[in-house]
Amino acid sequence: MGIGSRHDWRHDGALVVQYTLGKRFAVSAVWEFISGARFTPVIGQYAIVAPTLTGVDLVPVYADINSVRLANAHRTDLGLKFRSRPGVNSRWSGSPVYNTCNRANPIGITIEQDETTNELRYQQPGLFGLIPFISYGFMF
Amino acid sequence: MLTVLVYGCIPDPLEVSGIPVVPKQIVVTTQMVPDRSLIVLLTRTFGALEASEDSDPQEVLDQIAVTDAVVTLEGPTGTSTLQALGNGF
Repeated sequence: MGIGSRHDWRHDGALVVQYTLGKRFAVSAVWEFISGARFTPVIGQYAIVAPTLTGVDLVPVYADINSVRLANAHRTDLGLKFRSRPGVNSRWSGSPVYNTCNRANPIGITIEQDETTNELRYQQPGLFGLIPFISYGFMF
Repeated sequence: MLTVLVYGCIPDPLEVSGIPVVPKQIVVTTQMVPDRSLIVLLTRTFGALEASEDSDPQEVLDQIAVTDAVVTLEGPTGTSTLQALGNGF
């Protein structure tokens, strides 16, 4: 029984480091690595006569199924946490940053046209880049 | 503002390497209207990076059309040679 190509992650790991600075501050760092997913890209085209006899239609030519692997995906998340009120009714705030290196974690392969040279090239776009955010929590 | 922030942080896409090259092959397509006509189109396969949706269809066809072929039909009544109409047809 096979598995879907999008779930074919040969290697999947994460490195997590957390350190407490005194009673109020804490820092954390996460580095996650996932090997590239398998992909079946369009590598060519050929023309056939259109059924309506009004011209030609282009039919894509695909590579062998799952023969191409996307680039490995890895990202680094950093976090800083501040506890303003230790104890039972504690409050804390943080300023984590997702994907600190702003690296594209590819979700597929597209064909893009260069605006200056009009040449076509393959690219692997990512979905989310660097995202800083603020978190706040409390206990009661 | 959050949307602007998130949009501004979209990472640059990664370049791709190791994509297989499509083998150059002759493509033969036919279409027949019974008792009317028979059309045979001879073209070549071309790479995905050689043409886009913005490309001129006529230019693409000029590049991939096979114009120096002789197409014959063999049947019970003999052999017929089709007339070349240009652009691979």
